[in-house]
Amino acid sequence: MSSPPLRTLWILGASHLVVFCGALALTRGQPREGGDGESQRSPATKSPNRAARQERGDGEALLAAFRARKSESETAFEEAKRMLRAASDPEQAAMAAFEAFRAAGTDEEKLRAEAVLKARILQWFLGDPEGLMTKIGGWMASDEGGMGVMVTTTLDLAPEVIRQKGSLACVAWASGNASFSVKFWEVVGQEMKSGGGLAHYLKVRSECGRVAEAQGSLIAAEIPGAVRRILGEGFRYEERQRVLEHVLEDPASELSRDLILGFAGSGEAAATWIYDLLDRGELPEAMAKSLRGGIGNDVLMQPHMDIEKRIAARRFTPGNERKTRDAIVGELVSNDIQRLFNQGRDWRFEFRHGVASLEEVLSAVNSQLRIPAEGLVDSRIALYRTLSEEDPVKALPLLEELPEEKRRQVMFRNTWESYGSIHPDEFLRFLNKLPEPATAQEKEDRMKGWEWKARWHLQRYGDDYVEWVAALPEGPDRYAAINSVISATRERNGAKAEELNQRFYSKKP
Amino acid sequence: MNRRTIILLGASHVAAAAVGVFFALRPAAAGPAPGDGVSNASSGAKVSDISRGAAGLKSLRPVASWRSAEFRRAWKAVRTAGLTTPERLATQKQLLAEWAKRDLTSALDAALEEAWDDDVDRDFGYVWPLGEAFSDVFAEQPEPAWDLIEGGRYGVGAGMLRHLWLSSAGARHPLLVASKLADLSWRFRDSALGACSQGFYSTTDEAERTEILHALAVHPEDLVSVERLAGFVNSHVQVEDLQASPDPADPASGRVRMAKAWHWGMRMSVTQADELEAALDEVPADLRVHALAGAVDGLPYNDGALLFPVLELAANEGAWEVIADGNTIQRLQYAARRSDPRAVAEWVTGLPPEPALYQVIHRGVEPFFQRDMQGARDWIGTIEEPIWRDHAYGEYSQQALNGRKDPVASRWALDRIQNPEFRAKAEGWRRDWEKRTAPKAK
Repeated sequence: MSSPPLRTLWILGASHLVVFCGALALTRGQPREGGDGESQRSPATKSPNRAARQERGDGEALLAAFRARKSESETAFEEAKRMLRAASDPEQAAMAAFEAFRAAGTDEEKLRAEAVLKARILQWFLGDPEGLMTKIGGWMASDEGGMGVMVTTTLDLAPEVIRQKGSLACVAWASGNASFSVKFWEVVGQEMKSGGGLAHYLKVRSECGRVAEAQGSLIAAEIPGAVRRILGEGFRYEERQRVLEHVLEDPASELSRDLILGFAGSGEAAATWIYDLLDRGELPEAMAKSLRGGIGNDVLMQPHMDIEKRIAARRFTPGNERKTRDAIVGELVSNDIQRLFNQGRDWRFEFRHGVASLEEVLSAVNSQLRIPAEGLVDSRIALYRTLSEEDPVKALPLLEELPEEKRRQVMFRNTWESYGSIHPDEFLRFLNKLPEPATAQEKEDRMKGWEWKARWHLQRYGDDYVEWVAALPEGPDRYAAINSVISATRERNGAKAEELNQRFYSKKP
Repeated sequence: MNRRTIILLGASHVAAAAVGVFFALRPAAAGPAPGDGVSNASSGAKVSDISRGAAGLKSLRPVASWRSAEFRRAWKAVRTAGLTTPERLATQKQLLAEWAKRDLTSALDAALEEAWDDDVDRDFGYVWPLGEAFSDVFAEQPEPAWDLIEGGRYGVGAGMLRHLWLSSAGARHPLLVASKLADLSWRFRDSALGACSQGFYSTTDEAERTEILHALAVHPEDLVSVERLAGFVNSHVQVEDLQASPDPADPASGRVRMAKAWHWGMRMSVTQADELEAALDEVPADLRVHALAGAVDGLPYNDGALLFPVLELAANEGAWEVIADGNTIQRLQYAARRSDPRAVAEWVTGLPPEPALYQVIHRGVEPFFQRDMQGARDWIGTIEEPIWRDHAYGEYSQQALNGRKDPVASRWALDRIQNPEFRAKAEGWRRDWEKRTAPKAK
């Protein structure tokens, strides 16, 4: 038995520990703002025991470990690079590794052999890129059986080699080969972004010109269309005037247009500057003409640009000339939200699982986008359309401030404007949350929701969708769904449509 | 216990609670706060993950030895990891691919609970965005995966899994797909044959290719048409290869011959169209219809001049199904619209009065009527074959109604139809038009 002072200490220690653990458990168990958090947090609230806490903590650690891991092939390649000393004849060593790769039997052997082959090709590539390229050219031209792996591995390693050596040192072998030049110019773009800017671009171009002349081939002098905008993104805003002077040397060319559009895509300031040049008529018409449509699309990617300039630029794009201001604002706002969700934090996913509340999502949208007052309603509708697919009930407050008639219109149109490839059960749950349709238009919209989905759902889910429809409870939705299924089936197979007709309607009096 | 002790004890307990609250909130604070910039949200999550992961890495077992429950806990943690959309999708796909190796059922259950639409690319895919994570496992374990899909566990989602299975496992195991073809719904037949085709072209082994052809040829025409089968004929078939009679012991041999004849015809019209007529005599009589169908299919679409000699051969052989085929009709219309529609109208109405050719007549005269209603009016009376003349009047009425909204011209044509049975039908078409276009009562 403990002595009384010691016992007091034990009791005090234990009571402090209980308070500490209680606070820890209760705080972690609290649902986040909005109070409708999903089961992730609720177990701790209901049963604040150690196992539950440990499971959650364990999950985070497991996930972190998983994300930090390297794949088996990456690990094997790293190991092979570390272990293999440079061979005296890198070509011979690579070809020996290729033979070993072809002979490998088990998955384990293949994994190792592939790593060794990759490491050997890398050594060869770094030591004698011209020699390797000559071989690659021969293999590609002769379509020699089985050499494809050598070609694809070399292509995969090219960016690493070009980065290590610096693009200027690789012009001779990388820019003149159509398969490698895209990778080459991508690295040039990265180097420009890392500080090289216009000066680096001009140096590489000049070197390419020299090589093209020496090789008697134009390939090295040309920049593939796929990478021109990437290069434009690499110019620095401070050097804009010199960039302009450079492209104005050849104002009507596609290269100049793409470089400028790429530059406009590099940020709000560059996009605004290009727009202003166009607006003030400071560009030669030959260039302005080819830029207008492109800049009209580029401003879609610049949510922080002045709204008036964005609207004006959008009108440059063919087809938009007569669009109303409201329509353009709605399009811009909706596009901004989609891009934010697609590229930024996955709010849709967190909202779906109850991890993020509507208030949190709204707060993120408001802080990261510049939604003009006139676009507020459109932004709420766009948010409702995308978030209602994740949780229709929790998304409803987005429509609270709309007039009743508009609110109902958005909800009923949502049956066919949204829910395109959503799980049919989730579509049904959404429909069940809708108010009773009161007007002919609302009834029509609701039916259209079924009609517009049938053709696609039958292709995606096949007859399982027919069975899903058949299992719906009696009522107008079931009949709309059945009719849509029969009608969509008739487009592809009249006999099968008739079978469905018989199945669903033969007993009808 | 005096008052001071009570206050001290209370304060120390409050302090303990505060420390507890601090520790509970700490991990959350490491994650991105709402309203962080796009890149901040992303990098914030990464930093916290990696710092937690560094400790985790020491104590956790390697991923390769994880149990299903460990994958599930990591999966659930994705929800609160504050990832960007591309990071979340990539992480989930990687987790699923590994989890599926350990416990396919649980991994599929988890993946199907996520959204089935593609918010990022907004394209319509047969398979939900996370589905591709299962491609390798399906290809490596085709049979267990198939049994799982068909076991009724996935309800309406099974269709997506079937598409995924066909494009991954099916393309790697075409013979397996061929064996399941009869059990598959007609709605999946195109995908299944596409998978077989992918498998066929991914091998250079002649014997394996022949095996695939035979495995498909055992199915009846409505499952795999001769035209589809011809796509699985490997080598360049010579006319001598068509001479052998069907092997009674091999149920596939009859349709394999047809497919080869089709393939032969197609290659002839691609490479030696001038010699088709002479070479056709050497083709066994029962295979000529297939050879001619292949020959039509092999013709370039934009060269009508080559089409008619082949169709003449088909008419001489009585191969009406070749002429009445939807594809042939499309070619006829294309040729008419690009060159001389009256010549095409004359050619089709010169065909014998075979009931199978009814659609050929209507669609064959259509381009002429659409281009020159007045010229057509004078021309129809010159058609020698009475029933085709009636059909031409019937089509004229249809064009007058639907194209020109001219009931008077329609009546002029209908009144010239001689065959009472056909006239009743053509009058019915007009009544349908009248119903469709009648002003709606409000």
